[in-house]
Amino acid sequence: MRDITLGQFVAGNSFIHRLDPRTKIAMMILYIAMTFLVKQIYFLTIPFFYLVLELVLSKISLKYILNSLKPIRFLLIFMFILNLFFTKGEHVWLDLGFWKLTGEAVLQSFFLSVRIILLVAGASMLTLTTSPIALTDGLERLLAPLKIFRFPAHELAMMMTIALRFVPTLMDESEKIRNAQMSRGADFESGNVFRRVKSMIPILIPLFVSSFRKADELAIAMESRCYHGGEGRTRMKQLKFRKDDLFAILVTLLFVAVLIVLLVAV
Amino acid sequence: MIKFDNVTFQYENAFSPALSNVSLEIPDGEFVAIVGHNGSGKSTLAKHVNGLLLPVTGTVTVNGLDTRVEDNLLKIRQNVGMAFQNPDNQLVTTIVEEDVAFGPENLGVAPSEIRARVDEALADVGMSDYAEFAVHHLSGGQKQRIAIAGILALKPQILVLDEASAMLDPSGRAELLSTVHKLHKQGMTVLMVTQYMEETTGCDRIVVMNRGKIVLTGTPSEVFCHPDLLMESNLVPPEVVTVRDSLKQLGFSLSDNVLTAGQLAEELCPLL
Amino acid sequence: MSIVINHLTFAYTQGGKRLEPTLKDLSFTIEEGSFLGIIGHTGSGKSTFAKHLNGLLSSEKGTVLVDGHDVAIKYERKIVRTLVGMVFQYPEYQLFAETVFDDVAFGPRNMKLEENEIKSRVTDAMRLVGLDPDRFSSRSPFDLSGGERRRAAIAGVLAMHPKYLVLDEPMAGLDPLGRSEILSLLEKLRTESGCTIIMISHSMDDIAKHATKVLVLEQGTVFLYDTPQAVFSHAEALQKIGLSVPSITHICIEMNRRGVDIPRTICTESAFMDWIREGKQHA
Repeated sequence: MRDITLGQFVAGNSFIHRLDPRTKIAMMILYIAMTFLVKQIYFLTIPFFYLVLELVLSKISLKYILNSLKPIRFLLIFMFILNLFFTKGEHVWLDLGFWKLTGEAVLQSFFLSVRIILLVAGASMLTLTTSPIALTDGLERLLAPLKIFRFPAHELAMMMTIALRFVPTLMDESEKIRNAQMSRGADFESGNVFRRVKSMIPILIPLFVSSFRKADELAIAMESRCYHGGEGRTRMKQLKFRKDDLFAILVTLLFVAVLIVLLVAV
Repeated sequence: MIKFDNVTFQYENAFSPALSNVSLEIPDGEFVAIVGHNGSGKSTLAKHVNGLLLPVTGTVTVNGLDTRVEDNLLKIRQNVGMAFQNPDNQLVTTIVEEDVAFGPENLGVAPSEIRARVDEALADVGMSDYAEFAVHHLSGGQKQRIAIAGILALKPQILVLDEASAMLDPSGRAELLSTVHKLHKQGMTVLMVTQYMEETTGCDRIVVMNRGKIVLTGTPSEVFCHPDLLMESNLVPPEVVTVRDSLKQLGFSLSDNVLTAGQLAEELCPLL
Repeated sequence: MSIVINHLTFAYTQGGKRLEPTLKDLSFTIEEGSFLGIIGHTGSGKSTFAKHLNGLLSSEKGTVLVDGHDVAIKYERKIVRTLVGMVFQYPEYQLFAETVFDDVAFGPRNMKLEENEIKSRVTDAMRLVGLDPDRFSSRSPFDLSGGERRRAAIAGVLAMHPKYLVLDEPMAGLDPLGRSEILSLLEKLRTESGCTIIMISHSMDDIAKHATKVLVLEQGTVFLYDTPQAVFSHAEALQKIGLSVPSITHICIEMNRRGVDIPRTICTESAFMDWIREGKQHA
């Protein structure tokens, strides 16, 4: 349980690590746009090259990317098979009577699978190279202009900051409560699903009570430290848009441009 | 200067007031310990100093500013730093230095100035090496020192500790106490709410509370001369003082200034 | 019967890697009916050790036998958990039921006892900790005061009728009155029902006064295991590993330093006063 970390950030000092979080968020949005613009499998090579370039520059081991794909492996297989069944096509490779395996279906299955893999791998590139705090910071500042439409950018970021701060604390706490209830003979491991859910009550209720207490005490502590919302607030760490950031955005735009030219040309 | 003038306060749904007619003055630079059992009103008193709670009748002023005036609150809170009991529930962000920066950020201090204040505050509590640590990897005592650093970054004149040592182990308590004494020597006014009588022996003044009232106030040696009044308030004097009093009953003449083991041995040994 | 710890070694794992052992080759016996005080600074392995006493943790290296039951074996563990009661730090944070009665009954119900038996155990336990069953049974545990909540949580463990009661800093955060209530409860349990008390505490004064044996853990090994008098006579060694000593021991050290020959085995107020009185008679 203790090993779970949100976003699984891998500390480093590579070109990608050093980029402004806002730049990295923008890069990811452009990258996602690229994968969605593409309708044929061979054009996915463009976002694929982009991803490989990012991976090399970030000096992050391929292992982490593969790990991020692990949780979606069943979804991938399921989607692959589903598309084999339901995609109609002309080029029949195999005819079993009730179902025909077509070339189009195989192609479509591959296309969708690769696209999902690229999407997930791209998103994990962002979280692997950006600390959760920097990510929160970047989001707050990117969303800041929306404040004129009363969008609660600061409040949202503060909530994320506090959530990140308290995840490990609450994990420790739930472990302690679990130990205490097990010592009183509670059994969390046997019985059917219904029983097991019910057996969680002695853990969940104290955990909720403790979270409320924490929220209450934290609010008092924040008030004592002069917190009064986002207005007039400054930040110690300023985000700086540097030459490298400009360069990274330009390269990304170049990839997008090439892709659009190819799409239009073909 | 902090001034309580005839302050009464009652929580909603409570049968009796948590503070009744409390008057107290704490001049600049004093180190005051407030002691009392659970529910004696000592924490309620502390929460009045920076306007977290407002008196029902009477007034609380800090440097002449009334806590009931909404516009004064930010100024008062900047001037009165407050540390609480649970070290986990008062740190806001994951990284040590960002947490210390939280207060000055709220005040809109310029970024370069915040950086300077954070570095200074961390040095003051002896935690400079931990600036980039995640707070959940620290010990309780270290977390409390970070909380104090977060307060120092606001540049307050008054430090209020609301049972800040209650959840710490002895070495954590010692760390915290020596940090507080150091700040007091640099001119900080300190108001320390505690249950541990041993922690109060180095203070200028002790205020004993019971049932929302101040029952006794004086220097440590004066206060510990009244074991009966302490007992009535469900408090016990430090073990050394208890031993001193038993020795006195046996006929040893020991002075009231005996509060520590060293002092006791110093006066007792020549008599043996 | 007793708890026998034999060559117990334990290491946590993190991310599949074994960390440096938290407990290293512990071997000793906790005798039935004793009051064992466990001391050691934070990180010395005290809490990890306590979790081995009812099999919350178990190790492949070494054994812990509670009345002959091996805590590492799954079907034995159920028996062990009824023999060994555990009171963790701030036990009031584990309260969850709608009423105090139901919360105290949680353990006995898990033991699948008869409803009548459960009822009598719950009311007995509540009385024992000083919560009047008529007044408190149907109240919500969340409406109690801090000290009452702590005692309700302890009642929940006592209702299981443990032979061995393990407490991890049971007095933490309580005021002097609350502390003395818990300590006298423990004394009563030990003398009246012969319950073995195993208490982790930072308060050397309490340990000196109440414990019959003291275990000092240091970096996962047994540093000392003896009577309080013998353990606290090694004051310098204890201070060297960052532990404090009882107030009385402090006074004795200061007196030794000034040339008075008071024995270091004196660590409680009553023993100290006896020594003074004896000296006076001779003079």
